[in-house]
Amino acid sequence: MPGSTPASSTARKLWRHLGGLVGAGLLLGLALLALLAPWLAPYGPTEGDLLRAKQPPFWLEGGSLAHPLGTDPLGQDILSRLIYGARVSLAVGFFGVLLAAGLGSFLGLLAGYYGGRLDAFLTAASNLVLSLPYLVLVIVLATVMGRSLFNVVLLFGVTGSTVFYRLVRGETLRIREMPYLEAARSLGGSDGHILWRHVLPNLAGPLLTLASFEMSAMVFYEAGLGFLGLSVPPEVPSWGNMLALGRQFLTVYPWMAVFPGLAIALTALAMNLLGEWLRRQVARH
Amino acid sequence: MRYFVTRSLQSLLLLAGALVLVFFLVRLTGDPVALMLPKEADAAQREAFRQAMGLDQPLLVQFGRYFLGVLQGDLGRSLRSQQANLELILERLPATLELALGAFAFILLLALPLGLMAGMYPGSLLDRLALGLAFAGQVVPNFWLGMLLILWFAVGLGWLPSFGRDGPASLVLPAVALGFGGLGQMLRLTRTATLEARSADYLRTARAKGLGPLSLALRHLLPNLAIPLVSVAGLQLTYLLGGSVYIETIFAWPGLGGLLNTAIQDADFPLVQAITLFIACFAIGLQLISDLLYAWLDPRIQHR
Repeated sequence: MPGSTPASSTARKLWRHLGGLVGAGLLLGLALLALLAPWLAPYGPTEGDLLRAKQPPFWLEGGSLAHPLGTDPLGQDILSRLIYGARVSLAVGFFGVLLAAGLGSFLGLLAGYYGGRLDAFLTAASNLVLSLPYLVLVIVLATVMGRSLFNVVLLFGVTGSTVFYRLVRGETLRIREMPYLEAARSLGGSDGHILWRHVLPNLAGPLLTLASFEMSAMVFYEAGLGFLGLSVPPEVPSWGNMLALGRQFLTVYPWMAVFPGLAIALTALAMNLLGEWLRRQVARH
Repeated sequence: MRYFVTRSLQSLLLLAGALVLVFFLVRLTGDPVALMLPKEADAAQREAFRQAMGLDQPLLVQFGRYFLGVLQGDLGRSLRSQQANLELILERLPATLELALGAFAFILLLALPLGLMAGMYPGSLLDRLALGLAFAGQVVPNFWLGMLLILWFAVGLGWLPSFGRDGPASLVLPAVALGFGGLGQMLRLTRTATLEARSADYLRTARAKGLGPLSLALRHLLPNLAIPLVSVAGLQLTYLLGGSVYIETIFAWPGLGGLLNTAIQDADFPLVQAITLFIACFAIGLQLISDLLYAWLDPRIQHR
């Protein structure tokens, strides 16, 4: 920026990184909540007291600070269930993206570097998956596979690998012909060495950016599956399962649906802020 | 012309792929009978069902029957209602199309003017608001937004109906809830295209002729937006088709998404398979039309 004083440039820098900082902070807070749930949550996730059922949040008439965000028809504490629910959402987001990025990058590197039949087959397969409405695909898969956390992670990991594959394959194709790879090859570097040490590090930025956005998408889709009764088993406190129950009581006990949705939106906000910040950082270099 | 042929062939291959994929999806666990019959069914009942459905035949024979059936427009019969699946689907299709087009109209009505203004005055307050709105679309899940809209506008204010399909008023809330998530992409696209066009020669000429901002936008910017717009329309409509599963469930909208959800709750797998295949073909067709239209509007891309 021309003509900016040191003080305003610091402020500008802070402003530029504000989104990334807020996103990272929020995400860290959520991760801590999930990890420390048994110590932080005021009640157990399935601990119900029918005498205290259907209480509104504390600021509404009839609410109390004993259950700050109210209770559901079984008398379970909404706040506690939200805190435990963070575990499911973050686990699906984190492990789902880990699997998707690992699998997609591995296949993308191979296909982009070697080309040939493998490339043709994998690219056709990923194009097929990407041409279908993703939600319909995961709904059908989830129905067939059955309700468990493992299945949900597997499902998102495998289907989500297609976007990572597409990114990594394209970038590898581009990098393959660069002079520095030619140099590495002529120095006798093995293919594995070249892919791991020279190609993959160049993809770190775009990969991390995509991972943040994909993580947010997976949190969305997991909650959506839960909302349709297709994610983790119904007794597991997850934001999607809470929304599914909340929908049935939407007009009478709206807080049952409002708070889990807010938690999902907040999580998505954190991941998207981080993703936008990463994208800007990558673009600057 | 070559582009049109290769692109169409490509879609044909995708269709074949989708056909195979959907066939195997339902058989993924190895035993589709276990998925379709209640747990109480005994071995004899299972065997009878297996034979009735042709599931005792070799896989290749099953696939051959299924494939020939699809070619003749036979998507099987629903387990629950015993009606032809295609009939059930076509009965529900208009409602879903109405919803998806309503959501798309909502996106265009908001994204085009806002994106244009944001692109003409980058950095302005309006630009920031528009980008904020686009970001909100990425962050707010549509199934939650749908419920909030019901709480605010149907229960709280009583302005609009909260469920069902009964005239234009009942379309408003579901269309907004469905379209909100797609708003960001369209808004950003319009904004970027406007930003790029702003410095183009034809716009400078138009400005030099003394055109005001409004006629500039309407006569010179908007027509140039048609091309990028068409390029994402197929993707957007596919996305909306998927999202309709939630929205139709929340608003009791009698469309395909709702039908899919009921079929899943009923373990009506032949119907699930038929709907999935239908939606997949529909999406592939949409993408093809959108790509061909794009190439026709902008002949340069045929030579890439």
